[in-house]
Amino acid sequence: MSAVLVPKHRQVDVRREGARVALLVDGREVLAGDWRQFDELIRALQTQARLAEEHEKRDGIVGDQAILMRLGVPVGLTRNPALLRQAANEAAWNTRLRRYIPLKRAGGIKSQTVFGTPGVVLGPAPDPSKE
Amino acid sequence: MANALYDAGREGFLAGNLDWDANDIRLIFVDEADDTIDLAVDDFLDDRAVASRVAVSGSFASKTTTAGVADVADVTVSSVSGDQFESIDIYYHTGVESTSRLICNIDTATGLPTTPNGGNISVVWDSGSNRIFRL
Repeated sequence: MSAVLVPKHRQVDVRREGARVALLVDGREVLAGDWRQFDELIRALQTQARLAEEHEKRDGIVGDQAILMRLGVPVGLTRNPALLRQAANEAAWNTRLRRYIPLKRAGGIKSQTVFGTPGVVLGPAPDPSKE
Repeated sequence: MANALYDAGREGFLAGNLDWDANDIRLIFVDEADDTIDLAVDDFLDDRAVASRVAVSGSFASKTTTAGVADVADVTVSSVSGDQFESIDIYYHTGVESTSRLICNIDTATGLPTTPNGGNISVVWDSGSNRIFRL
């Protein structure tokens, strides 16, 4: 049997009796069923947890996805169409995005700026005897 | 690397935030061991570590912009001491570091790296057609 402590000092336990699995809160059975049902429940919980995580980290996901889109990398960080639309908008219009893209991959027109070659001339060291 | 404009410098020229012959333009000798340059991200002087700045010149004199070629009179910085420097930053001096826009970095010059000896250090610009740089 495993036990998990949750806020408000409620104790959540999971118990197995043969092929039957039960969820107990403060010693009272609140959910019980076949192990297959619990497998499905866990998958559903994981899915919702991932979606909740995506909601919490949506700004970062949009930013990272926008950089990938700008670079033409065919990798999706989310399947949420709203976030993808927002990322596409950022990729197209965010002029500061290229700051996060390595120069060689930033694209655009190569600078035609040409520099001369200056010279740095070191003068004589001060003469301590004259100070 | 090579002599190059900062992205902020390009932006400044395009957006009208930099006026080569009207603004107070200066140079700084930079000890690259104390600060890693990032031409794309460093935009104002406060992005260059204080410890990396070996010496600062006075205002450039006789600035010209003919045909997109930036030129000034040769610069002498007096009584320079401190760490060896490997590059030179040129920037627009506003008196406030967070608004002093970085223009370009010069790490390819005869005489670099240079170790100050307490004496004067002069920067003699290229007398060819590109002078300091040509946009």
